[in-house]
Amino acid sequence: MGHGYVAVQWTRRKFIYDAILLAAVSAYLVLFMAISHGLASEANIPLETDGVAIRAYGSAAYILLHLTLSIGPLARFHPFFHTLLFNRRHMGVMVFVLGFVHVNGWRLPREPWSWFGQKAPQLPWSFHGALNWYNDFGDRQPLLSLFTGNRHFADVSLFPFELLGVVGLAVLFVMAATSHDFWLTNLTAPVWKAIHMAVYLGYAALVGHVLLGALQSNQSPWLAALVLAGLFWLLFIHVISGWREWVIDAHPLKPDASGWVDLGPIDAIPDGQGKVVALAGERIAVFRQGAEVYALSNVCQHQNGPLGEGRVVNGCVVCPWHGYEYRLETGASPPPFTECVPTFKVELHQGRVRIGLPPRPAKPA
Amino acid sequence: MITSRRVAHRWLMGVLVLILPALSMVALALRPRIPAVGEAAEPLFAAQQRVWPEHTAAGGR
Repeated sequence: MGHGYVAVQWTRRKFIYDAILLAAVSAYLVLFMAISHGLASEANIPLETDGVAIRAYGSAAYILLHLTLSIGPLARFHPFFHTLLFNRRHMGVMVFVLGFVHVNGWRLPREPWSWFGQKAPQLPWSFHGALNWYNDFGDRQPLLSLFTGNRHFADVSLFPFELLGVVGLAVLFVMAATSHDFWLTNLTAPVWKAIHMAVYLGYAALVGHVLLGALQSNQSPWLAALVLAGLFWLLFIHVISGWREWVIDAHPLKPDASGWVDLGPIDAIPDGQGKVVALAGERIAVFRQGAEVYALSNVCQHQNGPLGEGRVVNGCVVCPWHGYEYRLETGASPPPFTECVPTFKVELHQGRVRIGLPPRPAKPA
Repeated sequence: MITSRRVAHRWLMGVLVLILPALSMVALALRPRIPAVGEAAEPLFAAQQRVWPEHTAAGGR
């Protein structure tokens, strides 16, 4: 532990981001419960308030997880999504909170409207979570019951899907608990990113949790179609974005005997934008500013974000992931920041751009 | 390290792309038919959640 804790730097943008997130989630929860009770009362079916709340929180977490996992690939397709990417971890933490409430319930001593002499509506202010509900409020310790009560591992319709939910929630807990930059700095970006890749295993467990749980009893074809659409959507955008990355890595450039690498004509690099090339197992971001061309490592020092996909503002490339900045000439962040990335010699030779190896080591400003 | 993480990410996504759709289809194809709780009810409102063999043998719950 070589780094001290630095409190979250709240900005106006972060407050707006979180306010919209909270408002959208709250609206979804209230609408889900109100519509469920409306449909049930229309069909004259008694509906358990606990069960509706469990489904509301569970589905909110599941939908938000899809949105969170969509942001990364979408940001590679369009800069509009960079805004969402900046505070994506807030959405991840919210997914965990919703999942935890789904499991544990929500207990407050009094319903707020009772203070005003109002009767409680059917929207549950306090409810038992899935852990108690599926335990049937029995005598056994709920956790013991969860892990030992169902052994139908070979039966699709009776499979203990709750255990897959436990795996998913455990992964989400690790993600949420290590989401602060304190952990990023201490674990280093590569290790932190490697740990956070487990979110895909958590997602797979939660897909199983929904398919073997809710979809085994709920027979709506629309619900099944929605779950499948979410799954295929996520896989599709990840495959497309991965394919674009693979194309870059599959055509690595090679230096000539004097250590220079030909990048082609200068006109092939769009003015004011970046281009990413693969070289010696790493990626290099090349930027053209009019007649000037700059080359620096594509890897941001914060979370290894792709600098080549960032915008250039005042002579600095801005990482699309979290806004870290590096000067194009030196690779150093402007003071007071101390991050820096290696740069490369660049020369224009007969209208063609050439990069010189080896890279110049990173030097703070 | 960065390159190996990228490779691990590709393998992970490759495995998920193959396994998840297949498992989803199997899980949906093998689910039991549970009638809705009433004629006017949405299929969302199933008559019962699950039928447990051990409970059925003991006379249901």
